[in-house]
Formats: sequence, structure tokens, C-alpha cells
Amino acid sequence: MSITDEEYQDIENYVASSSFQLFLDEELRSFCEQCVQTCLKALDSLSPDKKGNPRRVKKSQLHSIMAIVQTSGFEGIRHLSSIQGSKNTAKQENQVFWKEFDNILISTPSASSLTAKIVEIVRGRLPYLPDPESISDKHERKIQKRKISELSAPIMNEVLPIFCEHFICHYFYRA
Amino acid sequence: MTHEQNIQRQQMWLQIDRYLDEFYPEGKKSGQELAKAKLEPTQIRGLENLVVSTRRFSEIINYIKNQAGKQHKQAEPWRLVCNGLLQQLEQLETKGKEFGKDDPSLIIEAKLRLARGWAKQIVSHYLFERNAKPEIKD
Repeated sequence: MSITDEEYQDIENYVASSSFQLFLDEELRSFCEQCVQTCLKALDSLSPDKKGNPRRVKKSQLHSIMAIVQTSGFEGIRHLSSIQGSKNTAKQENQVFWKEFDNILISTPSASSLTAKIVEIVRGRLPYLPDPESISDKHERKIQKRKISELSAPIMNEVLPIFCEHFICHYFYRA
Repeated sequence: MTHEQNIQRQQMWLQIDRYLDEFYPEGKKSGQELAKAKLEPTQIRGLENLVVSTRRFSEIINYIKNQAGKQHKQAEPWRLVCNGLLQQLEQLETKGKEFGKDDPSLIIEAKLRLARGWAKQIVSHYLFERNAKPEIKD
């Protein structure tokens, strides 16, 4: 069940469209604002610091995100989340924040992750593609998941840097 | 672009210009707030240059949030004005969506044209407030 030229072209056409640009500008931004809210809420569940302030990760920790996105893309960001979350384990806020950030990127089966959002776009463009979770055959399910993942890649390449920009700026503003 | 689309676009530009005229007192107020907060001309020019060159409305919003969220002393004036600026950008975005109707390319264009008109208003009033002699202001 390989990707056809028409399927790939449809996704490329969408990425080049004004609809996609508007999605990056509005819907993605709104999604990021909610994601920041989720992270802050998770941090607020921790006991305040010695000065009685809510716990926050240092903004400098987020500076590396954009550079990682440019050089290593999605996998780079996931690796960063894992490294940052395990560093300086005395600081609970680091673990909590980076765990939430990783959830935002990829958590399954949550519908509220960035990955889920992009899969939703792909399946919206190509509605005949079955939901892999509805396929009982393990081998077929794996093939379908791989297909959707490959079709998602051109969208994720465009979305990820803008997502990180929205996220970082809103975190800076709110934290 | 069809002839009809062209007409629609030109009508949209007229609506945008009329709206910017109505919005003028708000833009003026923001310019005054920027001067009162003692933002430096380089900071204002930075915002203006971004608004003029960006192809994404959200980049303007993110720039202001980023500036206000920095941890050095120069960020303090941004923190005084950021909420007001962001509220105005939100108003412009709502209006842009209204003018562009269901056409994503028109919505994007409308939002950017509104932002550029707004930036001209706030920069000119910032400079006036900052530099004009008291007797001229009166």
C-alpha cells in the first residue's frame, strides 16, 4: 500500500496553499497557547519554590529548541525533551515541563498532540485512508501507520518550526 | 485572478482603509503609551521593520511576546505596553477575518494590511510624543 504520486501531490499542494498558511497563523497558534497553558498548569501543581513563586523552567532552556529544529527536526526535539527532562533531576520543574512537552509532541492515543493534529490534516485531505487503529491485521496496521507517517512528514517539516516559535514566545510571555 | 476576485480585493482595501481611519485614536494611544514607557527608537524600529516585512501576522504577535518575556532590563518597557498592543492586534485580526470572509488568501492579506496601517500609526505617534516640543503638542 505505497503512497501514490497523486496522494503525495495532494499533500504538497496543501502545504503550498493559503489554507495551510492560515492554519499556521491561527489554529496552530491557538493550539500552542493551550499547550503552554497545559505546561504551566502542570508546573503549578508542584509546591512553590523557596521564595514562594510558582516553579518555572528557566527560559534559557528553551533557547536550544529552534536550533535543534533546524538541524535535526522532529526526532531532534524528542531527543532534546528526553535529555533535558533527565538532567538536573533535583529540579522537579524540569522533569514535569519536558515530560509535558514530549506529550504535546507525540502522546498517543491523545487527540491533543501535535502529531495527532497533523494526522488529522492528512486524513482530512485523503478521507479514504482508513484509521490504522481500526485495522485488525497487525501487519496491515503497521503498513497503514507508516503510510500516514510518510504523508505527514512534509506537513510536519513546515509546522514544527512555527509550532516551536509560537510555543516559546507564548511561554516567555506567560511564565 | 478573475475580474470578480480583483473587484473583491479592491473593495476589501477600501474597507481596510476606512477601518484604519476609525482605529486611528487607538493607534495614537498606543504610540503615546510606547513613548511613556520609554521604549527606545531602535526597539520601535525593530517592531516596524518586522511588521513591514513579515508574511505572517502571528510573527508580529510572537515578536511582542518574546520581547516582553526576556529577562534583561530592556524588556521592562515592553512588559508595560505588551498587553495593550496584543489586544489591538487581536482586534485587527478579528477584523481581518471579517473582511477576508471565507477566502484564506484574502484573510491573510487583510490582516497584514491592517497591521501595517496600525504600525504606521503607532510609530508616528511614538516619534511625535518623544520628540515634539510641548507647545506643539498642546
